[in-house]
Amino acid sequence: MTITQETVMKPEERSFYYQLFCHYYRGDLLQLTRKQWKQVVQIIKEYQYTSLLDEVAQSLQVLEEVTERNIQTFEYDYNRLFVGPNKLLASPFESSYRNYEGNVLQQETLNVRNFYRYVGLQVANEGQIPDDHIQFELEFILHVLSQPTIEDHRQIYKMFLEKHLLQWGFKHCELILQNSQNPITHAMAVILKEFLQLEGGNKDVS
Amino acid sequence: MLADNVSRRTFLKGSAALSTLLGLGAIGSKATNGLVPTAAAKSNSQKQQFFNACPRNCYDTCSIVTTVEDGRITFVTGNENNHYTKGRLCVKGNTYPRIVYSPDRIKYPMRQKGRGSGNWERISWDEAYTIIAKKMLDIKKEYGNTLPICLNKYSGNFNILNYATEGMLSSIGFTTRAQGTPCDPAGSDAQAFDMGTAYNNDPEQFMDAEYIILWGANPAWTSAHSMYFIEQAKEKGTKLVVIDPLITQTASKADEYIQIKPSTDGALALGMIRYIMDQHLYDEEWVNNHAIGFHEFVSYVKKNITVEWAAEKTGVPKPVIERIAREYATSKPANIWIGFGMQRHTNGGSMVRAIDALAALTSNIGKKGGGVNYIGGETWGFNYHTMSFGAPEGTEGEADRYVNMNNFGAQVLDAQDPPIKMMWIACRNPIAQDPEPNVVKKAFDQMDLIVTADLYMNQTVEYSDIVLPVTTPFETVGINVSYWHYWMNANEQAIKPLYETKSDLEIAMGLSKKLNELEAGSCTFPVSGNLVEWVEKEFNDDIRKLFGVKSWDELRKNGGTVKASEKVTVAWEDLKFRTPSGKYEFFSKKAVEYGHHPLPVFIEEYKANNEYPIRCISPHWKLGIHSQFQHIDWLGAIQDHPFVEMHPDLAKKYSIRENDMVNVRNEAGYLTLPAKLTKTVPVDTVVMYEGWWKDVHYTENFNVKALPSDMGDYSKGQRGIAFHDNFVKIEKA
Repeated sequence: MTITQETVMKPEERSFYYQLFCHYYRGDLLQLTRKQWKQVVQIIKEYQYTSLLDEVAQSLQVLEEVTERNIQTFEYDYNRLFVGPNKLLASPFESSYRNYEGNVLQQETLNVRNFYRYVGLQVANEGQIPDDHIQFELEFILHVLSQPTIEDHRQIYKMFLEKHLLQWGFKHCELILQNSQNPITHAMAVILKEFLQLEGGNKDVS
Repeated sequence: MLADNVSRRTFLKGSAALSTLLGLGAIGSKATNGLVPTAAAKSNSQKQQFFNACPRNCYDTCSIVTTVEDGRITFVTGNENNHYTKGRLCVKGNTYPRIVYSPDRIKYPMRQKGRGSGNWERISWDEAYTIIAKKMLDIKKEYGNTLPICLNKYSGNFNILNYATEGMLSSIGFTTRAQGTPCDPAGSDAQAFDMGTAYNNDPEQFMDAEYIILWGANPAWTSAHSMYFIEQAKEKGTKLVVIDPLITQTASKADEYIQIKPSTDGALALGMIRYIMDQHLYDEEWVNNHAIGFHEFVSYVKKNITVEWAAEKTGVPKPVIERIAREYATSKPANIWIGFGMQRHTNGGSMVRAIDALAALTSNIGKKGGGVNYIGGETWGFNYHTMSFGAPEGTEGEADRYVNMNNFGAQVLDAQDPPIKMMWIACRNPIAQDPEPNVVKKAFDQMDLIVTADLYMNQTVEYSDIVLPVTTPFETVGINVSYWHYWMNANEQAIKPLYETKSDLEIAMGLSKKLNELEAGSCTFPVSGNLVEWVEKEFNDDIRKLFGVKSWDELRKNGGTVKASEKVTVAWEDLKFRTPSGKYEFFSKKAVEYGHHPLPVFIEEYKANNEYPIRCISPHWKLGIHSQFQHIDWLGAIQDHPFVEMHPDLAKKYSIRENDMVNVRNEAGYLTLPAKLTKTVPVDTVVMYEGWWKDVHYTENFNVKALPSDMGDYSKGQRGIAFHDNFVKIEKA
């Protein structure tokens, strides 16, 4: 079925997804039980629109049906992808995708840092973890979305999304989908990818 | 209609439900690992410069100038204040920004569920310390001592503060230690028998030499900064001779290259000596006044050595031996640099003794620009304060127990009463670098707990239970000196440590704190301390006098680097040797004590057998230092896969063509890798460069046996490894 952008991406739902993925990349979902994953799916399903996309629906079903074994290996796969100690299979740092050398803490990171500073934020212990870790980028957008008092907040949201998250988020998801060995990391990547696609297509930041 | 259903109420319900489910506050609640309101002071966006020290196991031990902007490194280069580094880094040193900022660094303490499984979970430092400390205390309780805890640490980082790891383990009681070095033991013993210790002239004095022999050394790859001085010497007319079985990049720069059969260098030196004796080109006054045993040595040479024999043995034509001998003996000063590779043979130490004798009888020792230069330690007299705390009161036992680093796997497996149950690995990658890696793995299998502190995933980390993330030099404080040049380099903290990385010293303090929390008094290592205060404690009056600098702080404020007093840069200038006689000992009773011939005699080389007829040499690679650097992708972009070099004539015999996969095998193991055909290697020898290659599950050590070199136990506690007496067979895979 065709879903128009206007009906899909209402602010509340958008914020919810940013919150969900911010928690995900902060590691907050690593200890969830099967029952809790079912609850997460129920919460997602309250926002029916993305769940109406076939791929997302399939992924939600996967999350609903995860086994104990899937839960046990989820953290290992998550770490292989995003944390280490091995060579990361899907780096969570924007700069590692966007500069020629693939390094972290580069000019892209400073550009991201400037966005944060513009609205009066910075990463706690700045300089310890690169500012363009996806967790912080998602949190930043969530903050901007939830603070209508910020001057030009709609423009900031739009610019940040276009100049940063959407510039590398798809490649990141693609790497996860290529390298994932666990249904949870795979499903979450599908949902993130579809969500970013909706965000990319959303011209109206209402 | 659908849109209407998504009410404000539902949103709150959804977000709130998620937060409740996770048992967390909402995102943006100023959690310590998220975004927080901007601090009043903006970070310093001005350019700053810091002095760093490359701490790797390398002759050059460079002083680095690091440019930092917005709290991140934007440029590294060599420090011009250091006249050896001369403002330039090598190809490896230039990759430091990548080493710091690669997304693939080890970032957090992690625990592997199932050794070698690749299933890692992230743990906090507190959890890591708790697991390790509990295990240590359990071991002490079960065995009554801490000998089942084994430390294997060596040369990955020579920052003097990194001895904190040894100090931390000494602070819990007596433990088992991997002793010795795979590097230089045979040659160091040889020089210790001859002169009392290994002590080299300042390499900047190559410019003062009239004649230079690089004997089994390839500085174009392994000591790039020394090449400047060698090239300068050549410019002014000094002759450069390179003696090596391989036509190295250094050989390509030589005025004369002499290809010698491996492991026969002692025969060449003795042949030259015979000629020099026959022609009376030696310094009679010198050998009479400053040496003992010369007459015994003359008798040995006259009775056993001829130039013809040396020519036959070494493959170097008699006229060449004679000419080189004459040139060397009549040029003053003449300088010999003995490479480490040359002594990695079962007769390596005795060969170095023969070369030493050549330098001695021509009175090239004790002369500026001369010398028989191998390695030195004159500038290393720090306090080693991190190792000074001693065992806790009431510790049982008397001393640490040693296992041979060069036969580590087998000796760990053999250790009994008590057995070894826990391993701490720092600044080392034994599974990649040790001979017989499968035996090392078996030893690992016997452990209850393996803890490895490292920067990057490697084969040893893969086989560990806990990995602790360590800092790069740029994220900590330190002081470094070289075993070759005479400079001391300050290492300032240029940037904040990334992620949760810590230095070995910080790890030592953290673990001590946990041990004392769990059992008061169980570890004497300090539980806290400022890194700058720690490094200042390394200075003593001798160091201050030697370098003319009062403190680390003064050093960093004044250019970050300082050279030792000229007085120590000419080895043995006073001709007071540190031997029992105080003289140069052609005849060494100390050598006899250690089971060797008293004189620098020729010991027959290790021979191939029919089944494994081809010698396999594993020299150092230009883009790595042991297992460091070459896995960095910037260097991988130049060469990303190992290969076996062989002469086209040898390849033809086995129908092997360029890039064909070749099986290289012997009793210890085998590996399969592509062939590279080159006339730079002899026809009876193949070459595989030493190191660790990312993404392949073998190393050149797969078929290196733990065959000891002839010497090492006197000065290093253990003999070295005859890495280059490795014989194999090859076949097209």
